[in-house]
Amino acid sequence: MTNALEITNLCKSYKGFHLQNVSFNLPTGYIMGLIGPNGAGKTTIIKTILNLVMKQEGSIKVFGLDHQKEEVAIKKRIGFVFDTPAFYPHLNLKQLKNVVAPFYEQWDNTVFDDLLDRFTLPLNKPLKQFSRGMNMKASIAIALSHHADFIIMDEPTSGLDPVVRREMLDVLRGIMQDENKSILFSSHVTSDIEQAADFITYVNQGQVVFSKTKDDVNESFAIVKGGNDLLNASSAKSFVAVREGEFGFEGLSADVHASKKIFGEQAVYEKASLEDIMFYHNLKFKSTN
Amino acid sequence: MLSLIIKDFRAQKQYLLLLFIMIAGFSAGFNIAQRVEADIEVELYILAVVLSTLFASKLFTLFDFQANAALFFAALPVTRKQMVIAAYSSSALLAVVTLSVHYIAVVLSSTELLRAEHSFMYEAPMWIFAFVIMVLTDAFSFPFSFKYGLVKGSFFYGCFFITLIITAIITINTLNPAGLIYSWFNAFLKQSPVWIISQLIVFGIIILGTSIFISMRTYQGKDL
Amino acid sequence: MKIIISNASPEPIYQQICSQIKTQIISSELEEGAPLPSIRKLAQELHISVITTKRAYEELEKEGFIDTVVGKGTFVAIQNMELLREKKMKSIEDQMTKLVQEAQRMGIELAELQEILTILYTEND
Repeated sequence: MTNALEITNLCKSYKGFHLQNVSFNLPTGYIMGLIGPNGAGKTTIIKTILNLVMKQEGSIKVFGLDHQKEEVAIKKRIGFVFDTPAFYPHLNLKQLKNVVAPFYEQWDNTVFDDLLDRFTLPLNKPLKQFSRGMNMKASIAIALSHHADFIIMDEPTSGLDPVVRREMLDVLRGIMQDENKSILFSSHVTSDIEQAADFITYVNQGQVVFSKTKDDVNESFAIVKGGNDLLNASSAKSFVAVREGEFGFEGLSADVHASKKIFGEQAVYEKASLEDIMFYHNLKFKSTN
Repeated sequence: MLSLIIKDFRAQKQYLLLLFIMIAGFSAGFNIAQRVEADIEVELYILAVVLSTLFASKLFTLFDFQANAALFFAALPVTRKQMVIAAYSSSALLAVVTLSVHYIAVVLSSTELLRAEHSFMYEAPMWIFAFVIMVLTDAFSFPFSFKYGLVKGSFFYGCFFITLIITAIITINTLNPAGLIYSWFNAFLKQSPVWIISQLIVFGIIILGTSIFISMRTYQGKDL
Repeated sequence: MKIIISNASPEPIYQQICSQIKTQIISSELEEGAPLPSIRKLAQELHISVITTKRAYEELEKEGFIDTVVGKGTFVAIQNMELLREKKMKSIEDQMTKLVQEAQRMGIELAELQEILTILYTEND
């Protein structure tokens, strides 16, 4: 299995922010969702891949090539979407297309027109009259129109209403019918990632908490609930974090089988959503800092 | 690379058209005013040509240093080096085009009398001079823009330019006509015109080269 | 082919797919040699991860229900009816073992259990 993206021990420091030894791989042919709270480092990781932010240590390989030495060759095969609206407000989509298209040898007008149709975007209306959602869709249409092998998106669904969001996820799934394509997208909307991603990489405070397949995440994490009498120093250790209430505790277990061995049938086990997982990891981060 | 140089022309067609109409109108207007009132200062006109061209070129590259646009273009299949070279090239290209519009408007609106009176306005040196000033301005301003972005860059560049002018004025005012600089300047002017021009060109190339080098160094390590 | 998956079910999604395809093969709703959708197509249709469908197909292939021909796709395997029957018998035996264990725990006599079984069997006829 080849990797579309390999990040090894990536480090980057800003004032008051450190990306520490970030490592994860995305195999070719899959969608990876990058989750984490705002300011966790998702955008910095994405920008570093594209050389928009300069790494300090570590290595990044895209399509097996060094992201700095082979910068242009790599970027030709990348489609990107940022969480920023259009920057030429006076242009319409047709004019913007004429500015961007010449940069890509593989630019395909029929794909572009199809996407505009699908997103019901007007060709002749200035971008400044677009809503945030329309701007986002326009960026996505531009990113997807040159047959990119690797699509990188920073918060592509932010500002989109639920219907458009679904549409967009459908477009992504359509792209994935080609097993040579890969997608990395960040979002703090966990439902998007739950719906579309094959791999989930969770980042918090500049560190990768885990990077696993979605199935692994679903099968290993669980919410465990039980009476406070079950909770002691050693059993509490089996949790990522635990909340004690008046009538019982509720904790996140990273290994449901181990928890079942400890608590047996005296506790209740529920599927943990990504939101649960993020919430409890945040509790842990807060208590350790 | 070529796409990078002409992207601004593609993106700002309407704005360019408006600009050229204004510039042509201005240059033609100058000549027409000359017919009515013959003693308008020509030096003032030259200054106006340089300033309007400068203004146009700064407005033109303004979009590139906006945070969003810089981010977007740097993510396209281009290197930072190419972006720097493209910025210098497209600014120089715009200077050529703008000065040409000025020139054409001046020629078209001239009369024989005016041509005889201000012959230098119809000859190459005046326009080369304007172009050199444009390029030198770019050479001094681009490193600031690349380092600090649009707003801060313009501010620092403005400060730098004002300091430069003040220093120049103070130096000239305190200059003793018998002083070293004055005599060196006199000696310089006494050389043959060809020699002076070649020296200026070498000087310009050195400044431009240094400027491009500095811009590349700063921009290659910059986090967008 | 019909597959309906539930995100709310405690059973992992890949198992849901496996058991539904198996049931349809055993009941001959899916005939021998019938083509199955590609893992990517199935993932798109069911709105689930490619990894999940891949895992389901791998499981089914290991158990001999389906065959993947490189470059051609995935098909319902030619079933050895003897083997299939044996598999089904094994599954019934497993379930009955559980049943017997439960009955023993509750102190139900063999005769009583046989009686219940007879009633249920004839009722269902």
